[in-house]
Amino acid sequence: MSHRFTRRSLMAAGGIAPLAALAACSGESPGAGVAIDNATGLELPNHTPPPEVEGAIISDVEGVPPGYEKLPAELIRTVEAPPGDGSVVTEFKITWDAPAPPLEENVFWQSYNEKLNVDYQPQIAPAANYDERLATLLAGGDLPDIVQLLDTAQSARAIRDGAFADLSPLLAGSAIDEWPNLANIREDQWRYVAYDGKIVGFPIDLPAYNNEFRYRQDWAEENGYPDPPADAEEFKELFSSFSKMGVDGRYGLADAPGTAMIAANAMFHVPIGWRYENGSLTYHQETEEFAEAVRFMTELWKEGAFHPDALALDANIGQTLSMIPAGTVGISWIATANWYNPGVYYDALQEAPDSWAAFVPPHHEGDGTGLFGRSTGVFARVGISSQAAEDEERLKMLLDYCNYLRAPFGSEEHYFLHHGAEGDYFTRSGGGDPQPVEGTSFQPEAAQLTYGLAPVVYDFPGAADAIEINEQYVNNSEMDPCAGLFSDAATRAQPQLDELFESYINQIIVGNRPLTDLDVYLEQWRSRGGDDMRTEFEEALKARENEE
Amino acid sequence: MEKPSALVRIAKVVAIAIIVTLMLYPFAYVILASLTPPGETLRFGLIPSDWTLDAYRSVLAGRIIPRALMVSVGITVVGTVLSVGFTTMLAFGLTRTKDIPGSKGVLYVVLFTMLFGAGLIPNFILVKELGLLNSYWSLILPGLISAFNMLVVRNFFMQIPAELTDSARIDGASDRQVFVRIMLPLSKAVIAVIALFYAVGYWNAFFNALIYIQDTSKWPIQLVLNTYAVQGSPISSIENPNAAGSVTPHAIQMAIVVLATLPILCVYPFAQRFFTKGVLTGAIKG
Repeated sequence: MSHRFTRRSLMAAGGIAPLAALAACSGESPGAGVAIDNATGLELPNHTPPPEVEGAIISDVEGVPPGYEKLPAELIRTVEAPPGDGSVVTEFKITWDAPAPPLEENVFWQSYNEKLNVDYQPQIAPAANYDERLATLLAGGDLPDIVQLLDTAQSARAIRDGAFADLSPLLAGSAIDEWPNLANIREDQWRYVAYDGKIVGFPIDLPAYNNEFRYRQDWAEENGYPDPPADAEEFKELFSSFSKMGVDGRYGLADAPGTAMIAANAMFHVPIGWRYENGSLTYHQETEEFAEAVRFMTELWKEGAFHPDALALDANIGQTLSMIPAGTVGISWIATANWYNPGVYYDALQEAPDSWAAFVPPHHEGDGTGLFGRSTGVFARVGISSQAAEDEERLKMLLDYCNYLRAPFGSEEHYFLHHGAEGDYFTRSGGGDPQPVEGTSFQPEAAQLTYGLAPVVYDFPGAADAIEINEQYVNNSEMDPCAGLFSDAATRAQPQLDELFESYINQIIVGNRPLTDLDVYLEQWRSRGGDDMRTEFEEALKARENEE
Repeated sequence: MEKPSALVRIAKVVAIAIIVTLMLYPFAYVILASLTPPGETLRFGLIPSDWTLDAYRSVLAGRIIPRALMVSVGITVVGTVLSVGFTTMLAFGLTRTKDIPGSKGVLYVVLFTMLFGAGLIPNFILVKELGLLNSYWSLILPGLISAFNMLVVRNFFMQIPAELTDSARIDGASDRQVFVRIMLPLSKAVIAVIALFYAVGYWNAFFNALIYIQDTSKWPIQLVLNTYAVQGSPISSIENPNAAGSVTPHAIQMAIVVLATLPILCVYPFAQRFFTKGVLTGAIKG
């Protein structure tokens, strides 16, 4: 699997990115070769649960987002005054969205500046090129006020070098009560944005399991499969049958390894990241379960379940995703919210309600469900630059600003960030549902600007169904035991290990290499950094256990 | 020379036809896919069963693509004019390295840049320190003069008989007049070549825009294309509610690819008559 920053790649089972805790080896230089748990010594901010909202569907399963099928009649106010002071607020942020219209043509942006009393100037980094943009940003030395930091070695080095402010004095313990929305952040999430026992940013929320699998139920019924696949064999038959329906351009599975590999790993209960037993780590690719999953993938290929250009599609996420609404692929694995919020996937489902049906990949022998990778609850970190924090008044203003962005569902602030000012894009009367204003389009103008600190909720009709499905995933999930640890060896070796994976595993799947080459792959994986990673992580896990 | 046999000629034609087909197929696919309505597919991967211009209507009705196209057109036109001007002036100045003190050193410095690049970070710092960040000039000035193009033009200039320029100077022409009235009119072929090279380079500018342009409203078309076609940004962002359901995301992506490619393809036929001559005569000395 290539090391590309797509939302999908970061959610992939077995590859869920633990947010980088950092090599804080008391001044040791980069490449010290130690994996460190940087939440040690962290004084947690007090946690305040979000305000109760009428009609909330709160799951008993931790990590499942709360659901709200409709807005409460009355919205609460969580911020008494605009957080800004009229000055410029710059932010470096990642985007998967198309460019927003410029300020002078963007009604939302104008009202955003007015409402928050800021002159907001984002610096946008397309997700596919985040690394390069961050590299130049850090090299330039002139950091924006706020920076969205993904889990990369660059981010780690920048934090270690003091580029981002230590917020502990202002947020630890009860100090965070001054910013009640930030206090909604869970304690486990603070752990994953820590560095050397300090708070250096806020988490961008992530559900414990963000995506869901769906399949073309209408095609399945046409082919004599009224129910979702009950085991791996049925999975293979079902998705192969899609490719054999005689419809030009229609395939059961698109990219390889892609979505099918994620499903296969789940069905064969491949360990998430690493298996930790008796003080020793085994990488998931070294396990029998993974070998079975790869064997299954070769069978899928032989049965013709895949698109002929499956390997190329794996490198072209745009084209692969476009196959879902286009109706040329039989499986999808995208964020749950995409099926409920207006957009291409939602539209496709509205046009054909009997098409895409959610399913949970089963255990390969039909003995329950698959095993899924649980996230740390943190997708990325939002840091405040040390430069901006030099002025304490400005730092507090930026914290007020972040506090506004973190407003909970059911608040006026959250409503504004997701619907704009009253009458600009939506109207809402008498506490009813917001009604779109004809001729306006909120998402293109606002999505890129507001992505970041907003808490993840399922705020759409059908939230109850989404929660029910999500609970099945989370209840059958495990977290990578090395989540929260940072390995220098992993960072150094990852690009070439990704290439190695593509050279071996991808080619085994499509039959260009024999299955026995898996052993050759593993030997090379170990010698090219895998064993170093193992050593570093084992030491860190032992250190973590000793602390406890 | 003996004329090849009919069999050999047929084999050549077949081979060329296969090569041409392989080269044209992807482009034909892109165009035809952009014209394919929802629910239809391309038979044999190429033949549309039906067609529609809705993808283009959708793309051009929005604000993002037309603005990005205008940015790209502006950068290409301004950049090409300036690049051709400065490249030819530098080339002219370096034709007389024997006469002008220090010009040989300048030539070596220029040649050095062909061998070594500063890299991403140093270039970024340079552009930043020059105050060009987030400016359209950051897409033009760093690559204003290509050493390779300058050498091609210089070689061409050096083939122009010295008697022409000498006689002009005897008649009282200044260097500027020699450059404008003698060198440039005789160099149309090579100027067309480097103009095309520069135009294609500016039109395809992606990485510089990614690094230096922070304001997304200033993104050129290639960067926007990357967002839609490579990154897979939601197509509903095209902002044409009327297009909902009448186009597929794939058709819109292909339409954006066509719009990003077409303008530069239209320029080439106008430069073609100079192209072949210019490439050869600029490259060969003697």
